[in-house]
Amino acid sequence: MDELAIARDVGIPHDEARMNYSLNRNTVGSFGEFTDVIADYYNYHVSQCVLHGGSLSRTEASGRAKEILVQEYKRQGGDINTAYNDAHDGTNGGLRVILDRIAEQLKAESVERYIRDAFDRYVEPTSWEQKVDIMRQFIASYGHQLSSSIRTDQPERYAHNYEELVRAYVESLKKTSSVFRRL
Amino acid sequence: MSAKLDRLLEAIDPSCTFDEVSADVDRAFNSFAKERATIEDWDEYESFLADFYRHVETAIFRMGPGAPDDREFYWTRCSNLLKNAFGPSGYKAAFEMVRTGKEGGLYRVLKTVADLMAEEYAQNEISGRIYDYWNRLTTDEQVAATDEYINKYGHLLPAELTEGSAARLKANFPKVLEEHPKIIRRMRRVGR
Repeated sequence: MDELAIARDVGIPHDEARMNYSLNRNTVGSFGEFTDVIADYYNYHVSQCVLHGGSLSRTEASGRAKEILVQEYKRQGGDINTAYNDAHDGTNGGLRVILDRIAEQLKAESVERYIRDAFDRYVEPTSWEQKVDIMRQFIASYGHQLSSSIRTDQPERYAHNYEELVRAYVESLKKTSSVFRRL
Repeated sequence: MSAKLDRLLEAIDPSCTFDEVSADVDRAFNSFAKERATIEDWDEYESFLADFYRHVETAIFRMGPGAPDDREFYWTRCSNLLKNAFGPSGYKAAFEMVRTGKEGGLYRVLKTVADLMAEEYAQNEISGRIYDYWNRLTTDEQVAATDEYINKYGHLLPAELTEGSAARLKANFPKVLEEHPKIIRRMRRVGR
C-alpha cells in the first residue's frame, strides 16, 4: 500500500499506456466516430494494462467507456452529450481530455483492485481474529500518531472497520508526502 | 463607441482566445513523443521538459523550423510554471513525481504544464488587446464604454460591483474586461 509501490506496480503502466496512444486529430466529426474512438481507446488501454492482450467487443468497450464518461461529467453537471460536444468542438481539451478521463478511471479501478488484493492477502475478510490482530499491530506501530480518543488497549473495537482506518492512514501519509514534496 | 467595445469583446471572446490557444496546445501535446512514463535522470528531465515547452510554444506561435533551441531558455520558463503549479520548489516536486510515477507522474506534469501554457498565452493575448483598446480611448470614451458594458453584461456580475454608481467596477474596468472571456466561457458551459 506504499505510494511508491502502487505507482510502480499499477500507476506507471497505465500512464505509459495513455502516453503511447497517439491521436492524429483532437476532434471527432460525429457521435458515431466519437463512439468508435472511445471504444478503440478503451480496448487498447484495457488490453495493455488489464487483459494483457485480450480485448472486448466494440459494444462492450464503448458501453464501458461511456459509463466512465457519464460518471465523470455528471460530477460537473454534464452528461455524455457534454463529453461529445467537447470532443466535437475541441473545447476543454477536446478528445485528448476525454481519453485522459477514461485512462484515469481505469487506473483508479486498478489501484482499487490492487489495494483490495493487498488487504485480502494479509487479512482474510472472514476472519475476525485476523482483523483484531491487524488492528493490534496497527495501533502498536502507529497509535502514538493517532487521535487520543482511540482506545489503544481495545483493538477489537476497531476490527470491524480495520480497512477504513488503514486506508485513511495511508491517504493521510500520501497527503503529507505531497505537502513536503512541494516545500 | 459601441462598435469599438463590441469589436474588442468579439476579439477577446473565449472562442478566439482560450479555445484557439487550447486547440494549438492540444495539437502540440498530441504530437509530442512521450514513450516512457518516468525519467530518473535530472539532466534528462530538464531536457525533456525544455523540449516539451519549446514544442508547445512553437505550435502556439506557429514558428517555423528556425525557432531558437536554447534548453536553458525554455527550462527556466518551464520551471517557473512548475513553481506556480506545485509550490516554491515546484520543479523539484515535479521531478519526484516524474522519477517515481507518484501523483500522476510525468503525464500529469506534462498535462499541467500544457494547461498552464494555454491559460497564460490566452490571457496574455486578452490583456494585450484590452490595454491597446483602453489606452486609445479618451476619458469620456472610457466612461461611456464602462456604462455600456454595465448595460449589456451587468447582470452577470456580482451585485456589489454594479450597485449605486458602480464605482468599483468603473475604477477597475480593464481588470473586469480581463475577466470577461472567463465569465462568458463559464456561461457557455451551462447546458452543453
